[in-house]
Amino acid sequence: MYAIETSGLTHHFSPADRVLDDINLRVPIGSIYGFLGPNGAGKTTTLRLVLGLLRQQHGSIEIFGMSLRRNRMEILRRVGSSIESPSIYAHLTARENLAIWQIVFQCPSTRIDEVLQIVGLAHTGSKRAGQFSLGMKQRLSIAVALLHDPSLLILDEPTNGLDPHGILEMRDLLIALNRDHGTTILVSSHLLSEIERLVTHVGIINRGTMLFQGAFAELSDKRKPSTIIDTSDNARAFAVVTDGGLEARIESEKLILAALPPPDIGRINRLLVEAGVDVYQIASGGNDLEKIFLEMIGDSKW
Amino acid sequence: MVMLLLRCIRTEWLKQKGSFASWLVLGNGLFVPALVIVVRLRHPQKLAAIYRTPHFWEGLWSNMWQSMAVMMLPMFIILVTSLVVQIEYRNNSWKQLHTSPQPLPVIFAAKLIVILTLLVELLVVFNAGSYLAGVVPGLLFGVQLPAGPIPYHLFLTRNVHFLVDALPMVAVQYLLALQFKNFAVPLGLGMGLWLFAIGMISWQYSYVVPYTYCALDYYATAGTIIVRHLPASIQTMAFGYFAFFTAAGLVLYMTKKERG
Repeated sequence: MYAIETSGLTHHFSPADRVLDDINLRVPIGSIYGFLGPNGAGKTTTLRLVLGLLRQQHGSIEIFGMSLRRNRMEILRRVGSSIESPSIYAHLTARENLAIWQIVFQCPSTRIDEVLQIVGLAHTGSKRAGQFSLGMKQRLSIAVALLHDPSLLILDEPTNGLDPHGILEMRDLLIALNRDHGTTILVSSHLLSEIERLVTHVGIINRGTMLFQGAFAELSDKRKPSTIIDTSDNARAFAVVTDGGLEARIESEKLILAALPPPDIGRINRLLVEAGVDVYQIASGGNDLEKIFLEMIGDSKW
Repeated sequence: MVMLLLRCIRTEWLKQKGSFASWLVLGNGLFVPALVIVVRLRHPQKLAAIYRTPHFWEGLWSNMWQSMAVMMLPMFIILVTSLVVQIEYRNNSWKQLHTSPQPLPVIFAAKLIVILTLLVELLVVFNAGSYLAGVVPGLLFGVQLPAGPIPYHLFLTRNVHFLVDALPMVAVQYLLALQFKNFAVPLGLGMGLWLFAIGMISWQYSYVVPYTYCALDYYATAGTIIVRHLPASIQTMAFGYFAFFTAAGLVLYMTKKERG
């Protein structure tokens, strides 16, 4: 059973504007699922549909094996979410904001202190949420989502507005929630680098179509290992290497070869030095995931 | 369901605490009484004569309610209804509210009940202010207060009437506020409807516009306007309009394509 399973989810805001096309999202229970795509790809629309914020047009949505249409209340009791910009009452303090949701979810009032501690807002006292920085508002929004200890957490670009330290803290928090409480987490982002050390599963969406979905390891397997050589004269080095019977290309002012075994690396190095080319660096590398992601969405300018 | 509703009302009440809506209750409820006190304090020599007037309290009540029924109450409803709903729009919080385990009719009802409670609060503040407007000038200048009893029963009945008269306005403004994200739209439409109602108050069929009811009730009671051809009492029609627009508002709210 999946925590979230959509079938044939299709949505359009106008007849000519199909924003989602046959989305079959599969978020395994206990996973941290990264939902990736450039801005405007359809991530937020999918999440809004999954949460019932948009009226379903085509397809079906099941959460914990229950139809969202028929079991909305029961499902929402087990889901925490933060979609797009933070949803907080600016004229109230962090504690007052949480008190509202504590009444709604009927959780112990001690949870307010716990989540404030977790997101690092315990010190805010009587300061109104409207005076918070964007990062603090984002944290409060996440505190709201965590308050009732949900089984499923849906976070739309939760690191927006957070500084690098905050992003690391957020990542650690989500990993801890998943590990210690078994919380299934669906987190959307437009940056693979931001979530690659967080997720166990990944879904890539672009222009309303799902391009990839599976375990993160499957995406990692798409990396192609290579050998990167930096020299004083890359054009001459290219000639030397290809004359030596190896395939190479010049990319970002470096020579890129297929992954080589150590003896071949030694041989190439010797050939280059004998040809009068100074070798600055020989390193092993590979397509980073960001590049694979960019290739997948077929547009490197987003 | 009742517990859900009570919980939802509690949260809605917490949300409006400290917002401009609370200040609006005080400002609106005390404005006319404060004005009356200031006017009487400027002419203390007239106080003794005023206090000796037979039916002092009824006279005071009538003076105070003229401004309230015709202007202050409709203004309050137009503003406070928008303010209560705008709390969600302004804070981007509809989406959080609509992803909480609360049925949509419960959320709808809770907000409406908060608006109605603020309306009752306004009447309480206004009545307390009216009492103070009656006694404060006399106490300050040592003038003997009116000897006659305060007609509490009459005042209570009239308060209830005005409250009922105002219900259709609440329902229409609530419907508009829920439909438009832009604060100016329900505000502008409400003001327009109110001005239209005031302009046609003397027309024999003015009762078809529910925004006239408070003023119509006041003028009919004061005898300024003779209201004929009413198909039912103003309060009955007010209840009818209220039920209709509340039901329409609920249906439109529940069938919205986007909920945040």
